[in-house]
Amino acid sequence: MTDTQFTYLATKYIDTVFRVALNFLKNKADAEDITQTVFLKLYREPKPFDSEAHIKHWLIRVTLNECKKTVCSPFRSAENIDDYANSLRFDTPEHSDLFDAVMDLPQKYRVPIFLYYYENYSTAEISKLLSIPTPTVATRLHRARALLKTKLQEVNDHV
Amino acid sequence: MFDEKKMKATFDQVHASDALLTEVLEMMPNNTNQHIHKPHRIARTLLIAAVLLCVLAGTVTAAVSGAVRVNGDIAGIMDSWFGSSGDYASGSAIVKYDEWGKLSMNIPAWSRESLDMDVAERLVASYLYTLEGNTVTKGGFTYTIHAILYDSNTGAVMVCWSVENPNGLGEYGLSPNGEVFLLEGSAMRWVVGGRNYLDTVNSTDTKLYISSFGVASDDELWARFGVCNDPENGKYAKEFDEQKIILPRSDRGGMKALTFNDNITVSPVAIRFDALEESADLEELIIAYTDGSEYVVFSDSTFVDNTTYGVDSSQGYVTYSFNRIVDVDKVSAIVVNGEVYAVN
Repeated sequence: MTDTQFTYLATKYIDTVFRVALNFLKNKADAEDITQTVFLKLYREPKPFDSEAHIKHWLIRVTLNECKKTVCSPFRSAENIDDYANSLRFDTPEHSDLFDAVMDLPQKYRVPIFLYYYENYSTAEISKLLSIPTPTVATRLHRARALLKTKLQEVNDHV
Repeated sequence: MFDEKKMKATFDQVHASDALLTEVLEMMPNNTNQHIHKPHRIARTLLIAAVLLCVLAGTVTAAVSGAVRVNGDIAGIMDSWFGSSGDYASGSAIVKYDEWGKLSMNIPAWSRESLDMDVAERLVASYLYTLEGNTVTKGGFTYTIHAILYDSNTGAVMVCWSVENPNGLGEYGLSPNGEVFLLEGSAMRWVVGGRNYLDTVNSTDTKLYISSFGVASDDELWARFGVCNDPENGKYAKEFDEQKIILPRSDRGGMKALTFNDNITVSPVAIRFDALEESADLEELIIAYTDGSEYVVFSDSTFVDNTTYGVDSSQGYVTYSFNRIVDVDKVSAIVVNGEVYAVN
């Protein structure tokens, strides 16, 4: 991969990788570490890619794999996601509430719902990315939506 | 409340920093100023210890007085929670997509069973209670709590309550599985439990009986009832006139329960898994009885869900409330993801 190609891809997909990692790990510092690692792997990847869609899929898959390794690591930073959330500039309180509610979901629901509703992956594609059966993806989406519904209702109650 | 457009607008605000992009670009060998960002780290075990201390401190919360005996149709109340007399006794899975092709409804198949009153009286009936001062009146709506069931073994809570307005109740939503919810424009205002189901046996045009299911944390139990003075603004309305009432926890103690593997508790009304890894997947749960029959509580592979509520806590426990009473005296085993845990 040439430096020009890498610069183009890093600039275009750094947010994608960072968002996936942040959703998985709920931790900005770890997400930044993962982002660096993933792009280093991209730079060193010897196999050619079929298309840009292929590259994006590869980036997300490698990001998820690196996140899983990080979760198993005995050392993780102690950053609170609330500090990072407070640094974000949302258009409305509802967006802020939604971010908090998604981040409050258990990891196994947080990642599928992000990939489905933000990255527009199908349940079959998410199934492959996460190496879980498609019906499990559907069930997790169902439960995640129910949890979000409850959490957002609770948030609204305290407005 | 939650839609794809709002999800995109929300996470569009999440960006990798310029500094991170610079660091990534500097990883290329032709860049001379290479360095890798490494944040300060602390041992994860310390974090786990801190969390455990918080949880243990929270369990000191004591029972609240004010629980009184239920003077109502106990059989009817339990049927609304655990029976099959209503209009939503069973249903096939419902999967729908919206105009953009995205999944908009995804309800697994469910099936309720007739209430066995002998079992209900033996295992559950004596645990029902209500509270003194169980009525709230706001803006023409009268909310009444008829009965509460709190299972201290699993944390599951069931509440039977009603809302009445002789002039009409206005708008509300109803899911194909009987789940009832408020809409933008609803004048009623309630917050009870995590899921609410309409009791179609007793409800009328001017009075709804509702079965609410939730799971208690270590905090106090409460419900809020009232009226929305600004229904045009729907769920984001700021003009609520509501009253919060504290629900007492019965000091009756826990119902009879079974324990498996030191971390699974099965009561007649719910199941609780403790000390689960966050990544643990509960894909299938079956309760097997000594007579050979089975209760499929949920199964991802067959897309069946016979729970009334489920909580997957970030504190590492998972609780599901059953849509029928489990006769714990006749359970032979539970099967979790294919692994059999037999009753000793």
